[in-house]
Amino acid sequence: MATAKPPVPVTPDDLVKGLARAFAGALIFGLPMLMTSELWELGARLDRLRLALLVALAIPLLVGVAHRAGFEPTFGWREDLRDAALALSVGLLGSGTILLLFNHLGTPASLDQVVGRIAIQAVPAALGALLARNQLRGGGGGDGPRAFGGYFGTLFMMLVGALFLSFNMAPTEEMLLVAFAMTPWHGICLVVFSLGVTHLFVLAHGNRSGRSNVPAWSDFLRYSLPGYGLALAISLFSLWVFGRLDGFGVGIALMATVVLAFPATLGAAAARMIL
Amino acid sequence: MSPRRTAAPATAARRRPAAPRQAAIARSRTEWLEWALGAVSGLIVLALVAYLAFEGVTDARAVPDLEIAAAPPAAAPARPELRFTLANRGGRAATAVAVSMTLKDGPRIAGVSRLTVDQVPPRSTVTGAFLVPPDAAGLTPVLTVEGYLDP
Repeated sequence: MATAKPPVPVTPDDLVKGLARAFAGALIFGLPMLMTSELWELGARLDRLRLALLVALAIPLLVGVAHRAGFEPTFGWREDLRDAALALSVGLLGSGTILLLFNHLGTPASLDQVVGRIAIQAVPAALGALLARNQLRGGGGGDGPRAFGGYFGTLFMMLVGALFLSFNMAPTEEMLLVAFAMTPWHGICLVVFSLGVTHLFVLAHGNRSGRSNVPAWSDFLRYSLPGYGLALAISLFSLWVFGRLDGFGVGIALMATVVLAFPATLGAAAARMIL
Repeated sequence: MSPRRTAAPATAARRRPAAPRQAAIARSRTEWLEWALGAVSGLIVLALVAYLAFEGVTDARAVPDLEIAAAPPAAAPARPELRFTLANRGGRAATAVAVSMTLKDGPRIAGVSRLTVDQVPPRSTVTGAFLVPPDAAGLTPVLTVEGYLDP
């Protein structure tokens, strides 16, 4: 159970530093997507309901990340919601600024395109803004209360890692080109390889549950398999939301999911170690 | 000493072991969820591998099987067009698929339009449209798949 501590007063200096870290994180994490041509096109033509769903689902995700590894220690869900909203604003503003600098924002006449291009980029940038604390300050998420921990907290951070890498790669043409070139047997080998690599990360992380009588295969069943399962689900969602599976048959859609789940599961496993 | 005072420590003593027991129940419930999640994930992975293996066995020598057909017109096209559905019924993707629309006036060819579709995944469809010239009234359009590249 989380113990409620009195909030530490935030000075203007802290606020400026926090915002600077958030902008830096948004740029570092968002830049690969901001410089991907498929994202510019998708922002302009992606089905608006899917785009709205993406942004809507990002809000609870960002609240969870703010609670677990945000850019400052938080003391309650209201503060987490505030930080998530701030991160999303930073993501929107940062993405808009960079697209404007690149002259890829679109013309004011095509407001729909402008909004779409910024919105599609804002989610990963906002995630970067929140994760900036861990990455740029070396805080490691250790200070401040972390009530959303334990097994499901770990799975949540794995989901965030999977989501981040799959968002980076799902819009690219290469995901589909790789899937087209593979046979089902390549797909099966990739599933086994992905699971193996995930388990290597889990082994490298070690058993931090504090249970001494846990058998070796327990981590495989409790972390590696669910981690890969999450990566598969996130990959399928990412490909669908970016319209990459439209018109596809079941087999090729699954193959593309398996291809994307490879980087996604790496993201999940790495997030478990890093965050 | 009142009976209430003597009863209070006894009740507390009875309740004391309940806290570790509740913690143990909560822990075993979480552990049960962890195993369940692992089992469900394992089943999903097994189903995925089984499906891919089935596809691998049935499509051992798969090739693209492309077919183009006219599709219903759009609700309110800006200009005359012939919509088409390009289907790949084969088990392998085709890239750079060249399709054409030949406008025929009896045996005479009045005009040809060509398009290249980037990719058509296996057992999937791609839709599109040829723009029809304004002077094509009375001509018969014929849709053809001209060729493709292996991915």
